[in-house]
Amino acid sequence: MKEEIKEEKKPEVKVYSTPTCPYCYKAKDFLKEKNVEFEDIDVSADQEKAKEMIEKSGQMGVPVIEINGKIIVGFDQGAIEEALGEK
Amino acid sequence: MNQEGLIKTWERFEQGKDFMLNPDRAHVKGVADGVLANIEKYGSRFCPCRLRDGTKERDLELVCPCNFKTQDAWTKQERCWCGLFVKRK
Repeated sequence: MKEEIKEEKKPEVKVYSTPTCPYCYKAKDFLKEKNVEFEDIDVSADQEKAKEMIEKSGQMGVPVIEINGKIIVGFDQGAIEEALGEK
Repeated sequence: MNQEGLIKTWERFEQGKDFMLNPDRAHVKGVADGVLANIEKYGSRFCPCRLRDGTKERDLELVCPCNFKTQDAWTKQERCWCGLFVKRK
């Protein structure tokens, strides 16, 4: 008998951050608590990625969180949960 | 300038205003460390939560404390973007 393995699709998550920003750490801790894997992008050290973040979010503040293409500006727990499909 | 000294300047700045330092002291210390890192790196008290664009005029807007009452974060969340200052209740 063939066993079907249901794979849950992991969300694609990027966090655009700087090492000096407290809300960036809070956002990353929040995702870690939820066991959500993410790519952490230090925009203070990567000009290309900084440009990418500004183009996507239309502003220069961090953190910017991208979840499956949805852009969340700032640390907004409710918006993160909604984008993860938890709400 | 150290963390304690920087926080004292912010405490003086908030006196008699309709805003105050965030009661979350750990958060305030985190912002202070970020500003101190920017003083070390760039020589100015740049906001630790926004990117500089390298132009003098724009970068001056990022010197902490900034003109945060013009920000959306102040209107919508009653705090500056970094969460250093919050509206006094």
